[in-house]
Amino acid sequence: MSGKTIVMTSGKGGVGKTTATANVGTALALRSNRVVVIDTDIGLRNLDVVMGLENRIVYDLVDVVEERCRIEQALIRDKHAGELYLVAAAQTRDKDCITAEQLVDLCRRLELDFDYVIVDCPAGIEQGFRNAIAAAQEALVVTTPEVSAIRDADRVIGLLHASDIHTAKLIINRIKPEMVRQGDMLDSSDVLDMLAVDAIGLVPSDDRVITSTNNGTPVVYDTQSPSGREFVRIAARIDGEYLPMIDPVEEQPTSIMDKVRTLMGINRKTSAHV
Amino acid sequence: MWVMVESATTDQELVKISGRGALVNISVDDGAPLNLACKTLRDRLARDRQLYSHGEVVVDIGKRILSDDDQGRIRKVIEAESGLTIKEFWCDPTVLVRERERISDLMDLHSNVPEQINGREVMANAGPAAADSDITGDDASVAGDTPSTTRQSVSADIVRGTCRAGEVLKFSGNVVVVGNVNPGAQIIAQGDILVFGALRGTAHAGAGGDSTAVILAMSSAAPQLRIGDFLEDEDALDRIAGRRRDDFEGKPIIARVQNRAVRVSPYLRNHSIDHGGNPNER
Ligand SMILES: Nc1ncnc2c1ncn2[C@@H]1O[C@H](COP(=O)(O)OP(=O)(O)O)[C@@H](O)[C@H]1O
Ligand SMILES: [Mg+2]
Repeated sequence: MSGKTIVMTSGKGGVGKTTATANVGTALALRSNRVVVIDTDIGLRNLDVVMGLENRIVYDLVDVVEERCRIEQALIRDKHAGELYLVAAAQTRDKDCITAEQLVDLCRRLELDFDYVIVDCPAGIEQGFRNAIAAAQEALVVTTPEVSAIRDADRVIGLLHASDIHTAKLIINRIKPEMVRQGDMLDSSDVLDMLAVDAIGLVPSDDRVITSTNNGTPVVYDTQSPSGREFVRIAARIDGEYLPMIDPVEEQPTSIMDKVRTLMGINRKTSAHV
Repeated sequence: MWVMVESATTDQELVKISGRGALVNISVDDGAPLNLACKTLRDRLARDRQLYSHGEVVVDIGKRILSDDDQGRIRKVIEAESGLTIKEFWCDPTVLVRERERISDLMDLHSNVPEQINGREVMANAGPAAADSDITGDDASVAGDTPSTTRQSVSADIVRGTCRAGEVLKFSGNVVVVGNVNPGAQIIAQGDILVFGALRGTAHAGAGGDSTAVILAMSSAAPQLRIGDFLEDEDALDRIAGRRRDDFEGKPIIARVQNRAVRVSPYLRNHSIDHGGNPNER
């Protein structure tokens, strides 16, 4: 088996990289892939918390690269999803304690055994970021519809190009349809125009994310959650399925008629006048 | 001055071929875009192939500075279309001195710009150094039919694609960006900056101190426009957000120096961006 390594990155902190890593990773595993997620946010680890695996950590990423344990010993198996594993970040070290070469080497070895290796990247564009992108063949760039996050995403896309990753796809997270409709939040198409990349997911802002984080159960298990459903779709798109992009601004409310129209491929905007 | 070369009648001026005994001399006009010059040269050599079946040639590139690639292109044309062997490329020695000064000035001027990791840094070839080039040498083949209206053309570097946050692109001549310049990107040119897209980043034209340079963009929400040593005055800067959005958003703009400050105005179709154009405005 030879899988691929995907980095989840953003530049700005707090936009949803860790949330997206946990959810996309889980959803990919639920689609019968062998998946490993790696938390490279050394010193600020929290992917384990979001996945509810905190108290299973024995060895972490730094232990692996410093050869205090074998890779298999640092792979923490997920509670629910079949073939899903976590490599946790070290809590008490910093980003400079691993090198890009070490992470590249680890990912190459994991790719032999897994379909997807997802690297949760730290914020910023320093060493930790450079390590994470060095290991990846593909990148998912997470942003929110805010100018500061978009600026950082733009910078990161430029840096990805510079390190030969030209296929960055965008996740726009925390979209508030109501604010977009009132003109108080940037429209997804504005964000995509500006960044000149393709979207792979448009995730609405969703309070269930917070509950799920607190429970340590990714929101993709919550079938009622609009963000969870979009993370499931993102995983399907990564897996090569073609699913049309659904902008949360256009999506709700969903009446039966809307669903029929969607099935028939009729655009809501035009059909509203019928 | 930045003028599109449209007229075929100027072709003969772009490349002059003259014989000096056993030596053939080819001079390429300073202002000619290299593509056009190569094409003209190819046509001319092909037409008079028998005249140039053997011998040595000196290629005078005047006040232009060529990259190795560009030299290679000229060499290829000559070798393909004639039996001439290239003795040497010749350029105006003053241009080398001036170019060195210019580049070191540009470096000094922007030494305060933080070097960004992996940021795309472009130091392009020089555009033509000056408009007052005077190509000497008798022109054997086109003597007598010099058209009365000749256009002085200049060259520009072209950047395709999105210029992204953190990128610093520097040019020692004019630059044309075919794409957007995003917030946080910087375009710095000694000459004019023309953006076929939205200019939302910082632009500094005339970076060597030339306040006659212009900035032109299909639409603009640039946080800062600089020309030569001038900025927009504080009044304008204060109003920047509002004014740009209201008046110019989505519309072409031109920025130039008037009364010692950068002025932004809508770019109208009949606008001239001839630098000598409107002396009263400066
Ligand atoms: N779609 C969403 N709706 C609501 N809250 C979200 C959403 N995505 C992320 N969050 C919240 O935003 C915060 C930051 O998310 P996180 O994934 O830790 O960001 P990062 O890893 O980029 O720093 C967390 O508290 C998380 O619960
Ligand atoms: Mg995180």
